[in-house]
Amino acid sequence: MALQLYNLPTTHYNLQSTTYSFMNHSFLRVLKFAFQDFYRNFWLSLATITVLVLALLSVNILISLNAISSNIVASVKDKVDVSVFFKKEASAAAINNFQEKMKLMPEVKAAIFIAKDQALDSFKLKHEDDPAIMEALKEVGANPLLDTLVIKARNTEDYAKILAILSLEESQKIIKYQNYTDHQKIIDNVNSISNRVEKVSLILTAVFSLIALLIVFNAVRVMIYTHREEIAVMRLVGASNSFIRAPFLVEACLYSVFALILATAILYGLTIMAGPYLNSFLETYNFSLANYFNQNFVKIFLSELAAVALLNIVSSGIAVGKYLKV
Amino acid sequence: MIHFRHVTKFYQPDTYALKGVSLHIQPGEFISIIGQSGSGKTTLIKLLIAEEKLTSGGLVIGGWDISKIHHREVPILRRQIGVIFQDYKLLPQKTVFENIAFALEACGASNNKIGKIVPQILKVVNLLDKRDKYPRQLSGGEQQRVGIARALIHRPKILVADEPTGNLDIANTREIVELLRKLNELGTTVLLVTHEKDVVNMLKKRVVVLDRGQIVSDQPVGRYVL
Ligand SMILES: Nc1ncnc2c1ncn2[C@@H]1O[C@H](COP(=O)(O)OP(=O)(O)OP(=O)(O)O)[C@@H](O)[C@H]1O
Ligand SMILES: [Mg+2]
Repeated sequence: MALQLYNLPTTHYNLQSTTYSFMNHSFLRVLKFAFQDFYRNFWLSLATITVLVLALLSVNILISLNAISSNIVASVKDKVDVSVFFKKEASAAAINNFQEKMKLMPEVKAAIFIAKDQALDSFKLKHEDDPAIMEALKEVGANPLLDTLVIKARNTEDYAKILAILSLEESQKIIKYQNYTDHQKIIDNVNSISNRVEKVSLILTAVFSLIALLIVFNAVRVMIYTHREEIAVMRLVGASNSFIRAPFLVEACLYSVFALILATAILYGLTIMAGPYLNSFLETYNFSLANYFNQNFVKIFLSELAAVALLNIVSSGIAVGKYLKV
Repeated sequence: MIHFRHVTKFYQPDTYALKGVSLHIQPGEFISIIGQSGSGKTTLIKLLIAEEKLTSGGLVIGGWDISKIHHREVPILRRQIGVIFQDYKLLPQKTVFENIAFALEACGASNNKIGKIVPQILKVVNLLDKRDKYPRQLSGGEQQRVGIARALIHRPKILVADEPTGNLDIANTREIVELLRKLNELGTTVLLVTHEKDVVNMLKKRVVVLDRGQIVSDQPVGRYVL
């Protein structure tokens, strides 16, 4: 051992003179420590990320189910309408007047008039290949169909109000009949199903989120627990709390980003794999899960990133704090 | 420099590690503390760096009342005291170089400075060829020398050594003791805890004897008398 080589600068580092340089070097230092810790504990990091990925996946699967169910409910509701058939003797002006009146109602989304000739044409087109029906039509001679107004409400609950207008004496002068009564049951069913679906998915979301939250919190705590002695040693050689804590927080962000990227990749993989099966089921509702995620990509993934990062940072902040008491 | 006043330390549930210890250490002094296992030597050091709180009494270091130190100010104290720990306390995930550098990084020293000073001290403790090894890849004596290097790296005003030569052979022990003596000549206050008779006799400095938490002897030029 060569004593004469122990040639340190004579200035003492004391805190007063080094606070400012702490600021200068700390950020890169913190980043370096975070990455070092990440790859020197690779398997532990991987395990933590896996837990995060699973939590994210379960939340995303829930989001998918919500999207699918609300889409089905919406499209079923969309199929509901009221067709009003006008009497043969009703004048074009009266019908037009009635259509305008319906359109002005705030509850009405659309009121589409279908003239009887037009209705006949499309009827003929639809049953082109059915000789029996075509024969029957010929026999009848004149157009057996009526002028029709198809009314769609904004909300299924609004049909009651529309129906009230239709049943007014004034309206009944030109209306032969309306097919609303047939729909009443369906609409009631759809409403109660959609209410139930909403309630269930709300509860499911709350439960799933809570479970995911607890699992992530615990995984982070285990991760930090393995560092408890190091944290104490760092304290003992004079590191400040923030200097010890910062790399763990940066690492928490790293985990969040990696987990989100992995979860997103897996999610898209799953959607593509499940696509054909889902499509055959959802086709009639004109809904594609992949499209849904594409359209809401930024919204969904930014909020997930924010949530995961926040959860991670808070968890490791709390967990590290426990060992900083030395 | 360091002033213990009737210091008592009680550990739950039933141990008085220190009982009414009063000790005054002058700046620039070299003091050895000896005593049987369990006599409270390490406890004395733990109080010094605020790792443990005193149960009663007062402790003032450089005019600073440590018995009432705020948690946030503890790092400031520790950066000015170099401690060689009995159980090394190295960071298992960091290499020899990084372990030593950490004490400087915690003080906010520049990378430039770190790159210059750390190899110098590695040379002093004869570990240049082990700089990229992890603690688990080192022998006990090598780990101890890493701990010594880390305690010295930021040139603390006070150096506290808890059995620093416990795991070293005679040649290495002699060199470490010489190093401590040299640092003391350069103005560092040194507090050495040891079991080793030879070390104490070699030094010919003040010796304090602890027995079951109490000071039983304090001699300006002591010899090992257990
Ligand atoms: N954290 C603790 N909790 C309870 N008792 C403790 C604790 N630390 C130390 N003690 C007790 O305090 C007494 C003094 O311990 P200390 O570590 O100071 O001894 P020491 O003189 O350093 O011994 P050695 O020479 O073996 O290192 C011992 O009886 C020990 O059992
Ligand atoms: Mg001890």
